[in-house]
Amino acid sequence: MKEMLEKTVEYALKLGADYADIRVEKVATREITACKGIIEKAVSGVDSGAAMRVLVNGAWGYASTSSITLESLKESFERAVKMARVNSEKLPEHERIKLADVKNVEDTVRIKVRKSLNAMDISEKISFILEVDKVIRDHSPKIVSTDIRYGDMVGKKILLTSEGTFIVMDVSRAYISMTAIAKEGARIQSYRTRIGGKGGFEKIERGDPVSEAKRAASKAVEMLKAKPAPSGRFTVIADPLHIGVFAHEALGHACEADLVTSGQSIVAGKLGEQIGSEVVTIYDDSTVDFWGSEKYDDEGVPTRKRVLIENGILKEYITNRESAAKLGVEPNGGGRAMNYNYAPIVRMSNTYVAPGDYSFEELIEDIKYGIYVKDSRGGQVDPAMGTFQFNAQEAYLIEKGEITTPLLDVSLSGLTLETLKNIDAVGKDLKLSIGFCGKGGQYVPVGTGGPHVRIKEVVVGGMR
Amino acid sequence: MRVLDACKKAVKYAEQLGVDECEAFASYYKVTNIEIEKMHIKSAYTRSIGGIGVRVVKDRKVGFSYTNTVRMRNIKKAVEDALSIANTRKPDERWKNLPSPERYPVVRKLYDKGVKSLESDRLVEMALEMIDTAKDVNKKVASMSGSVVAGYSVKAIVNSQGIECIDRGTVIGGGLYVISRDGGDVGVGYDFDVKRTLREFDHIEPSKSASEISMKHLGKRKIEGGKMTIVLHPFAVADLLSNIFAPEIQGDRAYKKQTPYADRIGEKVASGKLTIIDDGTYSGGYASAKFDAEGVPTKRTVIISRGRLMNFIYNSYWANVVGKESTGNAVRKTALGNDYSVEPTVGISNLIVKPSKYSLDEMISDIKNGLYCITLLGSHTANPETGTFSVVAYVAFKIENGEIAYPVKQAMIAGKLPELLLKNVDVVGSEVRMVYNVITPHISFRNVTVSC
Repeated sequence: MKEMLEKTVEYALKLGADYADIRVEKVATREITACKGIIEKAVSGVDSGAAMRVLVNGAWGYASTSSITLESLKESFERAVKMARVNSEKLPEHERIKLADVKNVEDTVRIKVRKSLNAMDISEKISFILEVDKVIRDHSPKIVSTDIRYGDMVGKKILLTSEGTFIVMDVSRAYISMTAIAKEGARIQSYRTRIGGKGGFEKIERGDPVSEAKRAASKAVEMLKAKPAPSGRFTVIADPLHIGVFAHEALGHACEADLVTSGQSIVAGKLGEQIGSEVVTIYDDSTVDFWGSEKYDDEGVPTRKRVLIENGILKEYITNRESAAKLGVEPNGGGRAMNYNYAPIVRMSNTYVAPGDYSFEELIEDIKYGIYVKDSRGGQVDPAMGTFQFNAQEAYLIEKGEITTPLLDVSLSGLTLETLKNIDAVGKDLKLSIGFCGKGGQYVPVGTGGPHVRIKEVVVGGMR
Repeated sequence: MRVLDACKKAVKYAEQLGVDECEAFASYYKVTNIEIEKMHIKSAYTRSIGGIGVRVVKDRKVGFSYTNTVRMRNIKKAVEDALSIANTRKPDERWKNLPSPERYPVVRKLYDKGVKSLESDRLVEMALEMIDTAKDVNKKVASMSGSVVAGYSVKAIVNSQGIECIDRGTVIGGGLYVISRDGGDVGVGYDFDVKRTLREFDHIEPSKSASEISMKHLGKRKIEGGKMTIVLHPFAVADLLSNIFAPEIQGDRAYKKQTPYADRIGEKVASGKLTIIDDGTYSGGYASAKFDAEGVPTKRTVIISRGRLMNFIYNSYWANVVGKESTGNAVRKTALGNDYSVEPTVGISNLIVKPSKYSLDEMISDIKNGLYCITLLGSHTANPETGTFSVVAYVAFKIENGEIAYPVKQAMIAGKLPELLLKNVDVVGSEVRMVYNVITPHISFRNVTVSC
């Protein structure tokens, strides 16, 4: 394989490319869904293909193909070079792309797997899924429906660059999301939990799926009593899963260097400035043993722990080779691609708020009237304005330092730079959660998390 | 016609293996994408995606598998994998059969060879024209991002009941997100156009409009929250309808009681001002086609007629479960373009809100205190089971005494969509926009909670 890939990259250089790389992938996926004791979907399949990328006079050209033969790869490189030439003709001189220098790497990255996802029979996965489905339904007669989704992917990724990097990496991830739907009279509530990891099926087993299934069921039933949330500005306590979405959506995206260099980020030009309160430290760490980590990014750059904010001071951005060159810094391994059909762009890995020293009781005791938000179905942000929205899957009123009434679906909104300054206390716990992040049509696995955090003056989008 | 051949081979091989029924769906997409960043073109690429998905049925047990190549060896393996999955499952007592051949409707403006043969040079030119247009309109443009995309697709379906169909389509779209700056103040605006034919596509007008919105969005002010009338731009209407309403009218969800509309056919569930139709045959519609994702003819299905709930949408499986006919709403949902890799489920084709006779100016002129919301943040986090949403109106303008007054710094709107559609509809506008597969005018709602 390596020899064939080298030939194609040499061919691209001969066609006039100044830089060329090729990524070859073969990934088997399985997806199983169940609802109320019935398997609704069971799918297995294989995707394989190659992505070609070239730089001609500082302009990118891309092509991809699902046919991995020497002839087809060469033909794809021809297309990529042609696209780059078209692009290059109209590019102003100061916008020509340079890549930050990196050391060449030759490496093979294996993932430790105890229970291989490929070796495990699909019938075993099906009975596991039916088991957690039953756990949810058995919890209460109020549970009227379930939605269980299991997915795994196993395969290999190869990267070869014209500079001499050659990396072979294992792919092995599995996840399950379990939704319980409860009903009482005309009221319906749903609650979702998810677990998963990088590795084999043991990553799901270690997440204790049965007790997570029970938790989903009991939360769905509990939220049937939820009342409409008040609307306006409140002091909010965010749990680890909710603050993780904040760290990811509100700050993480703004720290993506492609947005910074193209004038689309509120934190552009603010390195070294105090942008948050002194209790705020936020990392994006691709080196922890978690869902969103990779040893190398899809440009072959070793990843590391990035300190986005330390004690409120903006320390660094997440970069790929292109944006690192523009900023004059060393790339930190942020170039990720969803699959061979896409080019790597700047992405996060596992983004979380670092723990502080407050206990949960200390965080909550002085709040006369506030909101406690837990977990999230996701959120959205406009990085240029710093306006964010994120949903809370579970919320409660806080009255005189006590958690009281559960609240119906509610979301928070704010402006990133104001909110970072309004964080006034950080808890000492830490928890991370798995998820997928979408950007430019590409979905990649990311982790998010943190401790419990107290934020002042957050807009709560309630109904009353 | 490689995709049709691949399907025939797959079905034939499955029949040799002794399955009761088999369906093969093959698709091929070619997409050329020019990306705009800052004030120039960031990248240009073409992408080809294709593959085949195979569904087999044996003793009422269903299995599905796929491959992204059309080599016979891989197709055979996909058929074998689908069969082995089927064998691990229990018989599905609800299974009846795959759909049978029927006459397909004539649907116009789905394919344009002008789009298919568009050279990347022309697309680059269009992208540059978009950038220049945005810069000409507004001197405060600081940055932008956007793209021009031209796509060609061909899809084929063959099943053992005798369906054998193939169709091709094109789509061309262009969108621009413009950022304006004035000192520390930032304004943003977004607009786009998407069409099936080149003649109908306009990349200039949305570039102008995005730039204008971003300029008008400078000078935002804080406002007081409270109950007020909100006017939703077609972008905002489409966002809420596709994320909340679309799943709620699915026949499978209605059967499983996962929607507030379950068991309510014939009842008044919305304002008498609302008529909403699902139409897969809409001429030039983003999601229009002759047949759906399992080869059933597309149809026009009235969902809400003057406030009354008339129908849910079905694919053939769920239609069989409830003893109705498929409404031609089988879709293969995927965010990635590789639709061959997923089994057909139920989903909207084009959702059409019937326009009324009021222009936007007329809608606004009656409002003393209100909010005009162009784009929303976070509709995807709404809860379709309950219809509750809590979103940011992030490009929004205050309406005062019948006029658009100034842009708003921060505002959230929240509610239960089914209740809003029933009790709060004020006016349905007259000018429709095709926002991908939702075709809708402006709609205004009274008495909505705005949080600031």
